[in-house]
Amino acid sequence: MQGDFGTMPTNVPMMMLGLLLAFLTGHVIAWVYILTHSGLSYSRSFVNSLIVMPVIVAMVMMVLSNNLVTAFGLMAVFAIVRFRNILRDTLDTTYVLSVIVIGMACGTMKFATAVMGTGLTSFIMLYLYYTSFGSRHRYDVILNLHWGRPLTQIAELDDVLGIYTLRQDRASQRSHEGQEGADLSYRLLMRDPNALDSLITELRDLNGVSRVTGITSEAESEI
Amino acid sequence: MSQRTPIPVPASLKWREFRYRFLPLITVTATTLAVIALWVANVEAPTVIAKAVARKADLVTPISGTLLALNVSKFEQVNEGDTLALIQPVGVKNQLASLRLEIDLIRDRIDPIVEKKRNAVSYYRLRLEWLQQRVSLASSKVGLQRAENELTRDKNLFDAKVLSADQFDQSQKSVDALRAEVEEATNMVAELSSALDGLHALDAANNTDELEQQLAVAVKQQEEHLRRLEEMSKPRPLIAPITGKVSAIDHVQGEVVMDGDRILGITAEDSTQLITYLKAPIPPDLQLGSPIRIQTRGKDRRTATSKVAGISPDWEPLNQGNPASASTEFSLNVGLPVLLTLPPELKVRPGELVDVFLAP
Repeated sequence: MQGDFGTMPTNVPMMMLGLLLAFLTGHVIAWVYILTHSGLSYSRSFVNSLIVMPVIVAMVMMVLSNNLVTAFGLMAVFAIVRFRNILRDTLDTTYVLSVIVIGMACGTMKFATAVMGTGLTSFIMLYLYYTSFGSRHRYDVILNLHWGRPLTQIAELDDVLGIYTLRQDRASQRSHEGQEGADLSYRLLMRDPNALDSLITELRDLNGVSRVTGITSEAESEI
Repeated sequence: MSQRTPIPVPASLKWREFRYRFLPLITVTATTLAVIALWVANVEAPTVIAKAVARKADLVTPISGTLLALNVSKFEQVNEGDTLALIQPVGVKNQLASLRLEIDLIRDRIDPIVEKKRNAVSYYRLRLEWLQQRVSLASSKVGLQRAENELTRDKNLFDAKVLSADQFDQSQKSVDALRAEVEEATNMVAELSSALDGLHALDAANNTDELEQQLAVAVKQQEEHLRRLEEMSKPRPLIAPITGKVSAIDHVQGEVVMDGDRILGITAEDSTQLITYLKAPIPPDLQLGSPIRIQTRGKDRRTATSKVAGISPDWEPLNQGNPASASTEFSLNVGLPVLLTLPPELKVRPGELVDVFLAP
């Protein structure tokens, strides 16, 4: 595939290597970010940007190829877009940057770079969408109930939950003075989200369980 | 512990879990494998880069003049000995005018010599006159001697009353006249001798011919100069020094060129060697004949084994293209020039870059 007519011939395998390596390293960084992130500012689109951005930057450097004039052109075009549109989402910025770079690649006659960059960027975007990458999908139901029996007997409740869930996490447990039992809050990853009603029905039939409510959560409302 | 079995997980949920949990792992694994494969195939880092060199020659004009004819075009094949260009010299007319002035000057230098010769002739004429006077003096002296002898004999005859008084007086007058003549001639010879002593400097015998010799040398030089100018006035052909192709043409036909200007460059078609610059540290086992693996660049990479053909004794700065760096006293960016043989099967053009792998 020889489609570049820029100042320097493009080594296509090396270009592919550069783009894939950027994707791979960005992926690793994104995983590390997911693993180590703490606080409330977690953003899935930001994590996705961590993966896409290295690929786009690699493509930028391929298109620029030590050309100062093209570099100024990139800055000018990006400035025009940036100051005309308020890009609130990091992933939106990434998309804008990618289309600018693809346009520059076409404009500087690096057609192979444009085609391969577009293909790989699109593949990564679809991959991120398809795998819902960055979403910390740990639980899909929040279950609140009152356990009226001694907590030492709570294994019976856990057994019922185990039948319906892949993973369960007792998020909170509140005891009341002078009363036996406690208000419990569970985060559940259901084996079958459609079986929530069955679970709630079975829990209500369980001795000692009362005030059962279940709330489905959509991936912790991450954006 | 409950003996109940967990409810089945729906296929859609299984697929979702696969997408969310396993597909990224599979993708990253596949990407890693692809990166490794591309890396191994393409990113075997060359130790250095070498450049193919070929015989090159510049066709330089030895004289200033007009480029009368340029018989070749760029990239045209030329053979050693071909006439590639003709230079019509300029400035010969000025040199001829200068020569004419110099000849006039020599002619002016001849006039004093002519005058001198003339004085010498007059001097010799005077000397001849002096000689003639001396001859006359000598002749008069001889006549006086004979007259005095006759007077002595006539006196004896007169005393013996043999000779008359008139005849004796006649002899006496003859001797007196000759004495006066001798005296006058003696004075004349003395005056001429004195005059000749004063004009001794005009004697040609005392004059060396140094001036004439200088003139003869000057005339000979001017003749040689004129011969050279006549030769120079003819168009000068420029001959191809090597066989190859015209790689550069610096002047066009009709252009005025100065002596020392490059008219065109010729590069041999076949590269002869590779030159590379090794940075420190130099492999300790590097020596003449050491095998080196080289690989062409570009789409179809060809590999061959080369050998070290020469190692420079000194290091050279590698940033000659940067005038600012070149002006510094020494550069830290230096390399050791090493010549490598060029396997003919690589078919590398002059100036082409190849990768050099020092490690086996």
